[in-house]
Amino acid sequence: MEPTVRRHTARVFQRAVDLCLALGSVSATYRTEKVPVTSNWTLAHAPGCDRVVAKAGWASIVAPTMIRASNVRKAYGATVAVDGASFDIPRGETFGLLGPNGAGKTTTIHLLVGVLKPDAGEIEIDGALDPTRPEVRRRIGIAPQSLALYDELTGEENLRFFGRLYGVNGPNLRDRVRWALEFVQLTEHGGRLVRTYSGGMQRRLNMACALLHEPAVILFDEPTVGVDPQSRNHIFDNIEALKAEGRTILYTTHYMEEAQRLCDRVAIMDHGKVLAMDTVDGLITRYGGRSVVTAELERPPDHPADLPGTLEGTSLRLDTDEPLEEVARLAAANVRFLTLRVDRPDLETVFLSLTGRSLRD
Amino acid sequence: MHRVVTMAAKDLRLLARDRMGLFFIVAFPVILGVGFGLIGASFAPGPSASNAMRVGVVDLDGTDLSRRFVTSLTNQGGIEVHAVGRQEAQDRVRTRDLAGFIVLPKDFGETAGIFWAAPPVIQLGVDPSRQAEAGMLQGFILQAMGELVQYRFADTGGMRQQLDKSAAKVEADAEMDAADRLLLKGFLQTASTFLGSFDQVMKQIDSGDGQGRPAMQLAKIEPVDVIRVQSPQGVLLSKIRSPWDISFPAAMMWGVMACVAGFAVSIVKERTEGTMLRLKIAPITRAQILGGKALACFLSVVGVIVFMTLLGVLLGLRPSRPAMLVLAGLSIAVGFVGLMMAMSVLGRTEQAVAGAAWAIIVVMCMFGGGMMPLAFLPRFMTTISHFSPVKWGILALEGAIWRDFSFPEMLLPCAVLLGIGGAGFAAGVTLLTRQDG
Repeated sequence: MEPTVRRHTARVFQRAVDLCLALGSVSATYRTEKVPVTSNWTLAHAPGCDRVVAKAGWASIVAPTMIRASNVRKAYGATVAVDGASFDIPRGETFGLLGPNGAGKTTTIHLLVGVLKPDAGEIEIDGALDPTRPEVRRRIGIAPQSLALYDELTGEENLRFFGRLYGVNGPNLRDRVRWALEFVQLTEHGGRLVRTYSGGMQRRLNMACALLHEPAVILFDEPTVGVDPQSRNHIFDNIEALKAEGRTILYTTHYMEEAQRLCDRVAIMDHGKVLAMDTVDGLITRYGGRSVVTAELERPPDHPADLPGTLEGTSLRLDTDEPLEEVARLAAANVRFLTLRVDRPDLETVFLSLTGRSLRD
Repeated sequence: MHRVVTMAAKDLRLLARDRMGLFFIVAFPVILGVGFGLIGASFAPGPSASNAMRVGVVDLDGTDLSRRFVTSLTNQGGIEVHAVGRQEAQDRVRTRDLAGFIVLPKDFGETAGIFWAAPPVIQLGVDPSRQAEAGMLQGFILQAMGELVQYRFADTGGMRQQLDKSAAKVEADAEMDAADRLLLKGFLQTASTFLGSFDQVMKQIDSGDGQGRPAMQLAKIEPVDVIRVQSPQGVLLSKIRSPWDISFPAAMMWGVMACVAGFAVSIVKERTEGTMLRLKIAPITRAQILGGKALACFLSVVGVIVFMTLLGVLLGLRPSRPAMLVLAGLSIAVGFVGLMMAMSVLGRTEQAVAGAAWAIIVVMCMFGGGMMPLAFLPRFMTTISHFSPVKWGILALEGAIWRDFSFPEMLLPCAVLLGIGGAGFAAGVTLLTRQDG
C-alpha cells in the first residue's frame, strides 16, 4: 500500500503523518535527510512540502519540483556557456550553484527566467515549460547580479514601480512595500533616492524588489558581491528567514562559505557543466577526501608504531574520516599535544578535487 | 495598458528629476523662443529701431545742404545715423558696431542737388561681410540726394543765383567750344524761365487749398503686405501678430528634439544599468516596455508644445487655427516618438546614443529651419530641407499659428510626420529586438 496525500493544509498533512505511524513508518526522508517519523509532526516541520508518501516502515515527505533544468545548453558561437546542465529543485529547497566567475551560473539563471533561449534542453518552472509566459513570471523573483534599480527614484518608488509591473496594486502594494523595506531593514531609508544609498543598501533593495510580489521561486545571482560585512550578514539573515518560510531559492555564488551556510544542496559548476550535485556534506564525503589532523607532540612517544598516521620526530599527521574520535583516542592513550589542528574538507576542497583548480582561480 | 502607463509614469518621474534633461526640454526652448523673438522683432509689423542699419556720417562740409542730407537720410527709416569723425567711423565699422560710413566732402553743399554741375564725391565705407546692406545704403544715399534736388528747385532764389553763377562761368571760359557755350547758355536761360514758372506755381499752391507742395518722386513704391490678410471690410488683419509667431515654432522643435534625445538615451540606459533585465523578467511584454517609453516621450513632446504655446499666448502669440495646432502637435509627437525609437538603437552605450542623437538633431535642425528660418538658407539647403522632419514640424506649427493653413493644407506636413513616426517606430522596435537577441 502506498497512500499519497496531496494537500497543503496542516490538518491533512497531520492525517498523512498519522497514516505513516499507523503503517509503522519509523523514519522518513525529508528532502535529502532521513528524519524520524513522530506524532508531533506538523507542516511547520517540513516547510515547502505538501505530500507524504508512506508505506510500511518507510515514509517520504515530498515537495513538488519548482525548478527543473534538463540537459540545458547555451552557446555563443564557439563558446559554450552552459553545457547540458540538469537539476531539479523541489519546493522549499535552497539550492546553490557554486562555481568561479565565468562558470555559467548567470547564464543558467537567464535561461531559467527566459531572458535567454536555450539551444537545447528544457526548462520548467513550477510545472510550466515556458518561463516567458506572464503567469509564470509572476511566480519568479530575481535579484540580478548587476543592480537593477533606478538611481533617481527613491527606494520606495522603485519598489512601487516593480510591484505594479507584477500586478500588485492599491493597499496591498502599500503593505508589501512596507514589508519589503522592513524585511531588508531599509524602512528609515525608503524615502531617499537610491543614488544616495551605500552599495550594501542597494544590494538589499535589489533583493527587496525580487520579493515584493511574493514569488514562489526566488533567484539570487551573487547577491553579496561587493557588499560590506554588515550588509552581507543582513543578506544572510534575510535568506535564512526566507528559507525558514519554505521558499524555493536558487542561489549562485563563488564563495563556498555562503553555499555551505545557506544551501540545502549545491551544484558545482565549471565551464558550463554541472560537475557534481548533492548536499554540502554529501559532496564533501564524496569528493572532499579525508580530514587531516596535524599535531606537535609534547615528547616523542614511547611506542611510535602504535600511533596512527605518520610521525616525524614529534610531528604527527593523520588522515582520517573521524578526526575528533581519533583525537579523543590519542588523548585517552596519554598522548600530550603542544599544538593540534584539524583540517576538515570543505567545498573548496571539493572544487579542487573536481577541477584541479581553486574556486578563486 | 496599466503596465504601459506605469512604465510611462516612471519615465516621466525620472525625467522630472533630471535637471539637465529638463533644462534642454523646458528652459532651452524658452530661451530660444523668447531670445530669437526679441532679436527678430523685425518680423513683426511696424517700425523698429532695434533692426535699423547703423551708419556713421562724417560731415566735412557742415553746410545747410550737408545737414539737410543727413536729416533726409535719417528720415527714410530703417537707418540709424551716427555723426562721427573719419577715424572713429573706420574703427566702428571694423569692430562691426556700424554697417558702414559716409564721408560728405568739404564742397558738398556747393554742387549737391544741382544735376548739371559735377556731383560731389561721397565716400562710402562698408563692412565687407555686409555687402547686401552696402547696396541698401547706396539706395538710401541716392534717395537723399534726390531730395536735395527737390530742395534746390524749391529754393528758387538760391537756384537762380546758381544759374547766374554758372552763366558767368560759361561767359568767362575762353577755352570753351563756341557750340558748347551756345548750348549751355540756352539751357541756363531755359532753366531760368522754368524757375520763374515753378516759382509762380509754388506761390499759387502755397496760397491755395493748403495741400502743400508736391513731393518730387522718381517712383512711388507701395509695399505689399504678405504677412497680413485683408478682411472683406478692407481692414488689414495681421497674421503675424508678434515676433513669437516666428521664433516659437522653431523653439518648440528644439524642445521636442531634446525630448527625443533624452528618451532615446533612457532606453539604452535601461540596458546599461541593468534595469532592462528586470523589466524583461517581469510579466510585461517587450511591446509594453517600448510602449511605455513611447507614451512617456509622446506626453513630454505634447507637454513641451502645450507649455510653449501657453507661454507664447502670455507673450502675445495668437495661433490663428487652434484646432490645426492640436493636429500639428499630435503629428509632431507621433513623428518624433518614432524618431526616438530609431535613435535609441544607434549605439550600445549612453554616450554613443547621446552623441549620435544630438549629431542627427543638429543636422536636422540646420537643414530644417530650426536654427535659421528656411527663407534665409541657400536654395540647395531648402531642397535638402524636405528630408528633415524638423522642417515639416515647423511648417505644421506655422501653418496653425500664422500661415492660416486649411485642413487640406495641413495634411501634407502632418502626413509626412506620421509617416516618419511609423517608419521610425518599426525600425527602432525591430532593431531593438534584434539587439536584445
